[in-house]
Amino acid sequence: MSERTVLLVEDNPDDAALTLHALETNRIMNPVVVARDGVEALDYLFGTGAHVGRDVGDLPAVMLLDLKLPRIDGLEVLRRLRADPRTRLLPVVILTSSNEDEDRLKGYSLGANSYVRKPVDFDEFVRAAGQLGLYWLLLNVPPPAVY
Amino acid sequence: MIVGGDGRITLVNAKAEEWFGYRREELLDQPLELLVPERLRAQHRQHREGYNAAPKGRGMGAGLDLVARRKDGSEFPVEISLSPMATPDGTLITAIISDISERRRLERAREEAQARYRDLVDNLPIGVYRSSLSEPRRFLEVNPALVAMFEAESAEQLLAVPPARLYRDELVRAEVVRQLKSTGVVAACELTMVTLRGREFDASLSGAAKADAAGDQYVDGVIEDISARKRSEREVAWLHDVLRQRAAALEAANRELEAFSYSVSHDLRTPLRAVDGFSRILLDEYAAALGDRGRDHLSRVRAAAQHMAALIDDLLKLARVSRADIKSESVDLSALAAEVVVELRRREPERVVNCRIQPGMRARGDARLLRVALDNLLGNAWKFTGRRADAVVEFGADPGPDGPIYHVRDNGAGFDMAYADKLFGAFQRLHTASEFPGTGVGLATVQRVIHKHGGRIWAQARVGAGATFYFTVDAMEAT
Repeated sequence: MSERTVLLVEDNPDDAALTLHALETNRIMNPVVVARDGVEALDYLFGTGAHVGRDVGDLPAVMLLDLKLPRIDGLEVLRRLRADPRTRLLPVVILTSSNEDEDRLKGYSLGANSYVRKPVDFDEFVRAAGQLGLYWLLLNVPPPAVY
Repeated sequence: MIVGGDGRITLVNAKAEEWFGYRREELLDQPLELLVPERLRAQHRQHREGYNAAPKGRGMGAGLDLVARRKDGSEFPVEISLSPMATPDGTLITAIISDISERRRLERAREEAQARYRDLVDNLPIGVYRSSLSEPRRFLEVNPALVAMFEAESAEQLLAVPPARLYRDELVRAEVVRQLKSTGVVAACELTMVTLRGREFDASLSGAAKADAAGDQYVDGVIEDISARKRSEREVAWLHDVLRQRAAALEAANRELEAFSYSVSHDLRTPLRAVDGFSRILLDEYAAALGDRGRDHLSRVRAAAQHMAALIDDLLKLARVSRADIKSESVDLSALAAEVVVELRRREPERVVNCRIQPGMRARGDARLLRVALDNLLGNAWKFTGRRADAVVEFGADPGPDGPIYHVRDNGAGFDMAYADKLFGAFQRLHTASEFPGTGVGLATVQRVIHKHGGRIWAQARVGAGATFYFTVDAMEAT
């Protein structure tokens, strides 16, 4: 697999650990950057705050985005990404507990590329992580660099 | 006509001939009583003789209702003025007679008209009054309805009461008088009045100021007791208020439920995922250290976490059904059921189940909600036939009194009808989890869907002999 980064936006440390474990179980060795809320995610992508000086042209291959986040929530992160020419085309997979119609509608309306519900059954979770890795890191062809 | 002192007629004119119907020669020298109705003749003679004793002039109709008699015996009212005249032949009396039939008729007509108006006013169900406008104000006329309205013993009692006493609020009274004096009119002024017994009531008062020939101002008007109307207005307003409060409370409850569901959907599953996930990792990485018992314990932890996740999901579905707005569309139930069966077969391809769906069943309703109902009913039938090699699941319809009665029938485990009343309650289960897994929320959800469609649902079953669920869908009366 390529060495492109996965940006995991997840505030719950258990969920973050399980996601990392599931990726590992699937032998997905790409570097994973974990942002613990919306502010950190935006700082990483736009080279601000703790990530001042980061090359913002180096976009992750995919962003796995939780919706319920402290400070700036997932949908707001998505809205700001889509409003910025640098991140407008970044592949975003919403990875969340909820399957509320409202979340799905808003997520897709704001330009999410995919919506995956985190299963409680860890075996299913591992399978889902494997499929996500396979698809977004290997099969999917990313947009050309725009910046 | 001239009459002699002896009461005999000495002269008549042509008008007298015409009125009395006699020719002149028939009257001359006849006693005057000829022209008086027989019953009054004796009395008349006495009067005449009394008059002759002290004759004096008497004006027209001086207070007497006099009646004259024609030749044909008919009578007519007259007025007579008398003037005595002394002559050498004795006293002659000139009588000037006027026929007052026409005047009497007009008077009677006027009296009748007045009586009719009086009747009308007396019988009106609203109070009618006339009162003086100049101080001290007092009633001049009141009708019986007004007397009753103010709980007076009689019209006289009410007439003796100063109108000011009947107003509860002095300021309102002053304003009514001010308006009458400045504009001459008060129209349907709503106010609180007080009866002579001190009872307050809602009234509507109207009046128009006028002046009589002498220039004294008075008011003609009506007062209506509007307590009943006011009461129903207040009731309507109160009901409206209650309804608005309930609607607001319902809306708030719905919003809360939505917020609650949203939070449950996001937050309640996350810890379960940690419980299941880390148990799984333990099982993978520390299997040897755990031993058989440890692995068994952890498997139970995982099963419990997953069961709880299923419960949460089912409850969320139930909540979603409850707050969903119901649509009315034409739904192909047969096609919907076929989709459900395809899904069931996909999930458990090893199962052999004979599924029979009657073609062409359509209903008016909400396709999404009806899909939820069929998911559960067919899913149950599928589940409870799990131990049969010859499993049969049927979905069909029969005509009923109010439209089709649909049924989902299986030849599975069935249940004891003694517990049928628990069937549709949330979290109620008639089988142990080891027999058949489940959350006990499915049929509660189905019932909610059917009720939202204005339909009914019931079941027939026998232990070991399968179950049949019947339901109706009446989207026309859906609530």
